Amino acid sequence: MVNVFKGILIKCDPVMKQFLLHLDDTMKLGSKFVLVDLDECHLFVQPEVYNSLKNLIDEQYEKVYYNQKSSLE
Amino acid sequence: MGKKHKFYEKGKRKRRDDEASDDEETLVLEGVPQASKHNVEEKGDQTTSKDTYGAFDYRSQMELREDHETRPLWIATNGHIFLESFSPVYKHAKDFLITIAEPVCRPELIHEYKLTAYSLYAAVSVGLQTHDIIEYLKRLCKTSVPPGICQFIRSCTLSYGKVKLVLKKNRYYVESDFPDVIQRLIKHPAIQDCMMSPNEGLVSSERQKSQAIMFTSHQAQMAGTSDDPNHTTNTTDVPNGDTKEGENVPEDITDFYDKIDKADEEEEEEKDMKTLSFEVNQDKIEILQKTCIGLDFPLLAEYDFKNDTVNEDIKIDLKPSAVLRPYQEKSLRKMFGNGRARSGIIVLPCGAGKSLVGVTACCTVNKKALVLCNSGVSVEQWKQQFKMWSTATDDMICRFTSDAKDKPFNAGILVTTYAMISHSQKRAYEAEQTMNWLKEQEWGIMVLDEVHTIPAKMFRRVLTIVQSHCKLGLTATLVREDDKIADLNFLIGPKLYEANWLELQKDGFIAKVQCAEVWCPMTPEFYREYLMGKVSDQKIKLLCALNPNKFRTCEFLIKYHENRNDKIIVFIDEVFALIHYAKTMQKLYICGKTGQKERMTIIQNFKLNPKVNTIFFSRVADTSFDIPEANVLIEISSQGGSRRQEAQRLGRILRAKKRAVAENFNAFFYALLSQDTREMGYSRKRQSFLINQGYAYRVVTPENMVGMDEEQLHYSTREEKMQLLEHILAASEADMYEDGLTGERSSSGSMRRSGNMSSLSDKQALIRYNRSITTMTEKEFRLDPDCELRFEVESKKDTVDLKLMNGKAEVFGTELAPDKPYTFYPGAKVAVFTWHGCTLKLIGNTEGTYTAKETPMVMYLNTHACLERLRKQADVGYGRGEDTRGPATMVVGPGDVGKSTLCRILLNYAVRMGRRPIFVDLDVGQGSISIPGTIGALLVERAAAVGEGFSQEAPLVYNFGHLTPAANLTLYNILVSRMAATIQDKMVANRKVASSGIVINTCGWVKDEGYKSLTHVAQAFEVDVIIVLDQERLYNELVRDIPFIKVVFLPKSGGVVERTQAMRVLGRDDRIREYYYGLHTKYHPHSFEVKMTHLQIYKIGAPALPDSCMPADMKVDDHMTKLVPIEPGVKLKHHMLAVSLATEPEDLLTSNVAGFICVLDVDEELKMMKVLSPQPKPLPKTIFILTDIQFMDSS
Repeated sequence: MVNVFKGILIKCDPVMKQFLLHLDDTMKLGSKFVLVDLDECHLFVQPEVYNSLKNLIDEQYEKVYYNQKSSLE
Repeated sequence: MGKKHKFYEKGKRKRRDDEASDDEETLVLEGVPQASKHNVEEKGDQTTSKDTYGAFDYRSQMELREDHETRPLWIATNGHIFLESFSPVYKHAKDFLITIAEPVCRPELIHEYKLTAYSLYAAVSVGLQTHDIIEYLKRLCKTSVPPGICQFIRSCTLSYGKVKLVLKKNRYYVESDFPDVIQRLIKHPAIQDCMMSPNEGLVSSERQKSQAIMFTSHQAQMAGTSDDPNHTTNTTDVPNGDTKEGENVPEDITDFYDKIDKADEEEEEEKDMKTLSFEVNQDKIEILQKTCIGLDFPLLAEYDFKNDTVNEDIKIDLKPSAVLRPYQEKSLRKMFGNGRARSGIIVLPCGAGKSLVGVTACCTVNKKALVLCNSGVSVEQWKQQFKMWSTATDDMICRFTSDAKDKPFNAGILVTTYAMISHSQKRAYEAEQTMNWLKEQEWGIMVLDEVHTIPAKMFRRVLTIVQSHCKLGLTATLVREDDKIADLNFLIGPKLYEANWLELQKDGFIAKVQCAEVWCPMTPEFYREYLMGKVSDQKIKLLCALNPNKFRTCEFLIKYHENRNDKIIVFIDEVFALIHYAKTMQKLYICGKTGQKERMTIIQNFKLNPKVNTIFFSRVADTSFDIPEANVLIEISSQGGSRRQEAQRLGRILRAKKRAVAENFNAFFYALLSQDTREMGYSRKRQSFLINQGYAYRVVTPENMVGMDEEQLHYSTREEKMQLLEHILAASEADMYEDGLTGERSSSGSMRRSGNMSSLSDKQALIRYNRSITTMTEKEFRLDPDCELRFEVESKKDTVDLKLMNGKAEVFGTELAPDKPYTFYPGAKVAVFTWHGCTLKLIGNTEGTYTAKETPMVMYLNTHACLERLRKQADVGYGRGEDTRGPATMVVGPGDVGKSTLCRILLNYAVRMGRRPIFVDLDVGQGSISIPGTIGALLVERAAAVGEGFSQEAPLVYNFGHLTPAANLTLYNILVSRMAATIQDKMVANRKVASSGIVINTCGWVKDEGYKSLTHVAQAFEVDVIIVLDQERLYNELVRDIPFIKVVFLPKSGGVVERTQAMRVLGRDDRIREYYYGLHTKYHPHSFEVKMTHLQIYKIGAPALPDSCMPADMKVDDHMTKLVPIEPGVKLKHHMLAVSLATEPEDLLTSNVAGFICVLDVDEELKMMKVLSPQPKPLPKTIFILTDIQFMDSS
């Protein structure tokens, strides 16, 4: 039997891929979403998580990159 | 834009402080005038409307003027002023704005300033009046000035600067040009208290038009203009000359500008020259100041030093070689504007010559000067600066630090640190004297270096201790993370001058810096670890710092700049990373642990040696020492986001370089950041200060790094990166915080193994796997004080390693070095004892190891102490001329009680006290000095090595020939006596040895004959102390029989192992093997053939003959010592032959031996013998003595 999944192919740099794997491990989206780990730059994930993924990535960016407005100088 | 919250936060903080009712805090806040609490920002912002993006819309509040293109300023209702730097009027406006407002951000084109209460206070204190300020602003502004601003300015400045506190002829006067102000003050009751003579009324006097003080500057000297008191020399910003591009400069502005510029030097003619003043009590000054501040009339402190006759001049001058640059001269003019010295703060960039400003100020005031700095190093630097720029001599400059205390009494200048002055604990006597002297003095000027580092509290303490007329604060960065700067304004004085970094750069006074931010991507594995966050915070920092890509980038940059012959400094805050970087790249580094001397050497090398072009620094460099100059600064990781730190580091490369003209940029600053980590955020914060000064940060991404891939750099393969990651993760806490690497790449006991990619996929498993591949088990033992760890090496071929992890421990008296592995061979029985507690690690088969809490070590130590006392007595006696010796100690007891061990312990302890005792081993069964069957004596000069015996250098050995004294007691006694005599001689010759005494180990034969031999030994050696181990009967017998010798009874240790006969035999064999082949160090004995006829062999002792067979004159006993010549033959096989040093057979008995040879084989037909000898052939031509000892050489 051949099983067919529908999913999203994510292409990114190795660092970002690590971040996504981290999200996957810690189940930030509620469940594991990575279907296949293709290689250093590609991941195959479930289609439903697209929006929440975008939000999480933005959040991470906020955390990492100091935003002048959000803190005292 | 975050600043809008600043005042609001401050208000909240103030309220919190009041609630906390912290005395110090509220006191300081009291020093802040009412008007300064006005919040123009809040009010301004509330009334302005905003558009959709959050930008302020001022169109309703201000109207644009027609000629707005010619005017340079925008003024917003929240007090922010924006200045166009490309405007023709820029120069006029700039000086003015600096005086009245604080710069926020000054990049290339648009500068931003802010009006605050403090800045207005500063303006007023240099002489600007309220209406002047408002007038000029009106003229410069493109639009109409918002009414709120005018109000703010008025309310802030109306009362400032009207009243001065002047010190004249050592009396304090409150002076004012404004009669109404004075009247108001006098009416206040608190002030009336302060007045000296309240009933007298006011003194009105003419104000003398004092001459402005001229500072010669660079330009003036170059131009050769003469000093004209009424003409302001130099300054590139004099508008007169430079209006080429400025045809559009409106007239009114130019006129007004001149007026303002001269406002300092010449007080306006139209003003009434009369001033009113009243005298105040010196003790009440502080109350006076506070009250005045509360009334909104803060007192400007000015020091009329020219007319101060009470304090004498210290008579120093600037040297002619000291030439001031224009900005330095400007800042000083602000300070000494009207002939008096104002207190305040001068802000100049690092490397711009603040010290010269300080020195000049001191020379100008010419009264006693006190200089306060941050550290001992700065103190030295200031002293040097004084000597360099002024005529001050060494005895005039006094340093007061914990390292250097010069005599202060004649000094005109005292240089010390903040810490020394505000130190509240008890001091040494001398320091106390100097402090008292300091307190009593009246200082003319107090120079405060790096004033931004002092918290207000400490400064207040300094103020109460030191009385000075004028205070000058010098700093490069008037920003602090905690905003305590505001308080300083009112404690020291207003900001007198702040330089523009970019302009200084343009003029070539500081180097042109190219700032760059280099983004280094993290490797996926590193990033994974970083994200998981399972490691400690410190490790996360390390992960960011030791990112392999960052490492490579750093390497690449260093190579690139070294090729250009630049000097490079690399800052890394984490010591672990620092050491790793430095060691891998083979560069020198300085961290906290580096010793003082080493630091000096490294810095000297950096400065002068063309081969040393790069050094690595840790955080110590920020404060502890004088960082040498460099061109390139690379920042690998910096903790937190301190702007000050960044600015100060940049200052190190800002000192203008000689090659400044040729290239566009001659200094480079790189901040290396790991992409996508929190370093990015920190960096932004740290840069904000520099960005505000106008430096642009270029961002460099990996694509820009041309040529990086071609270079030979570390960590190019994935394996190396993985290894680095493991290394970081495996590092223990201690490693990270202390010194970092101990040099090994992997923890002991792990093995490295080549693998393939798939095995690397699950990292955790990899690490665990590594750790479990150990062929040896490791075990750690924690010992409490006074405990010992006992273990035996049982297996036949494996060894056991011992390592001291921390604490102190000893093995039979020899101290263990920390972290050094000690190897124990099979058969060893070891006890590791600790007095204070320690942690040990045993590697190997550790079954049967146990810790013992009850040991007789304390008693052994006490014994040693008694012996030591006897030795000291001997020394004293010798000093008096008596012929005394150190104690001779004899250790007796049955077999297997630990006699040899006790001897070893006592000897080791004696050696550690610096003694050189003699060890005499009379145990012929288990000889430890030479092979069994001998008695020997050894001079012990150093402690025995762990696992081995004492080092065998020239022992005195007498061959006995049998394994027990019973075999030939007569001979035994003779030999003992002979040895005693020889030792006596030696002791007479060497005093040190004599006073150290002797320790004698005996054999375990204590019954009957053995007992008699013991007494004989005691007599022969003239023993002072006999230690009896474990056998009470022996003890009692000895006490009874030898009453004049002290006999001590000691218990045996619980760790003593009984040896079976087999073990003894094995032990003897091992001993002989050790004699030939060595233990740790390998010896190579020689085996060769000798002709039988070459050897003269004797045997001592003949079989007993019955009386009847005796010749008449011979006695029975003599046969024991009879010399019998022996024919070499098969019966000699496997026997040991002693090589005697006797020249005649008669001396055989009483000579010692040089060594031993073993007869391996005898060939009767050829008459040849094969022997094993420690020395190569030929054998010495001496007599050999046959012994009973046999040895089978199996190796």
